[in-house]
Amino acid sequence: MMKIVIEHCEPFLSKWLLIEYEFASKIIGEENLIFSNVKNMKDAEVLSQYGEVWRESITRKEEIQEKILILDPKAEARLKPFDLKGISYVVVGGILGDHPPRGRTYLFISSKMPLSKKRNIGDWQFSIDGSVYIAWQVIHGKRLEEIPIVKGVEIVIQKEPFEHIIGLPYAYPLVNGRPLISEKLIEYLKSDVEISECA
Amino acid sequence: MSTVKRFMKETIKKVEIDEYLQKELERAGYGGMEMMKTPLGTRVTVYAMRPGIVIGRGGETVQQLTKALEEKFNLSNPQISVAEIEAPELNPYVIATRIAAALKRGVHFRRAGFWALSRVMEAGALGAEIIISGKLTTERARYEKFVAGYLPKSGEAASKYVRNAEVHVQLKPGIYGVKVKIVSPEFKPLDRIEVPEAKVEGEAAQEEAES
Repeated sequence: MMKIVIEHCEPFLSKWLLIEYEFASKIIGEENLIFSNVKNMKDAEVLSQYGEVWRESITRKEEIQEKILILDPKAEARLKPFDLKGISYVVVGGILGDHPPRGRTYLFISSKMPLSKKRNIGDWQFSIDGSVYIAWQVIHGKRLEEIPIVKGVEIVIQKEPFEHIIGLPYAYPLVNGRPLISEKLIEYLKSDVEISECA
Repeated sequence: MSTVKRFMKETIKKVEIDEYLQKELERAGYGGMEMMKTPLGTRVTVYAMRPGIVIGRGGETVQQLTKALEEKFNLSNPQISVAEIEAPELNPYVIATRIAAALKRGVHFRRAGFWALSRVMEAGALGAEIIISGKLTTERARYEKFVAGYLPKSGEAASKYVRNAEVHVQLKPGIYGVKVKIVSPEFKPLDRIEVPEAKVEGEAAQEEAES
């Protein structure tokens, strides 16, 4: 069975990153998820709850490069179910994005794997869990056009006396008409709202 | 040059001058500028919290600015006049700069946003919006919006009565952007109709008799 690999590219395992990794594991099941490039022992221990952990980077696995497809926003071609023929691993960059994106998936992964296929899943930058969900849907035969997405999400934290909104300038897949965002992430973003400041 | 191209070129030049003045006059509490073409040249009105700094000793700074506008931006015979900002809390440049300064000092962005918004609303603004964006306490970039009151987003009201300012500040996690929109208290929205309270008959008769 094809597996999804999240290449951990951030210098440390932040709370937001962990929430996205955890949610990705929940979406596709820990048996289908691999975390690669996890150098830190403690991080490896934490991530082992959510999937298989490889200490070394996927870019070092030269012998299986041809069996790897990388989801890279800089890739020229769109992902199609047909592209996954003969592929064993779909790689998603474990990167918390900048806005506008800096193209780190290309820098850290794609540029080091010349023999692997590179495909994009849209013009916008997706969250890690969102990319994993889309890749999983395509693995199961869905075309990208059949997966609804929303570009940019706003979460209203409070209405009175002043309106406070958190904006995430990323694309998210829609599931039952709602953006696929973990409840844990929303709670994390809502935390430390200083309501007393606006009174 | 076509009319559209000419207008676009002039607007870009105006934005570039605004950015230049914002950078040069940060210490003077820069609060925006107005540019008007006259038969004699170009009149530039600079708004600042401390006009003395803009003028400089014996008009030295203002002369340097005039020279820079003429040489850098090819303005024909620029004449700079300086005006003091009457209500700094209603000036988006001042508010954006204050938020940026607070962020530089390490104040939490939500604290800075709410504080600035309440100051603007207390000063009598009809509405305001503050957007702070960047890697706000997390590794993933996002933006947070603080909105109060009535804020037209399009049409004549937006272009005439909503004043915008944008300031960037370099912090350790990256560049933060601060966007401020303030609706002037002079604005009377057409879609907001105030119905005077109905008077009780007895009271109306009494008022009539008194008059």
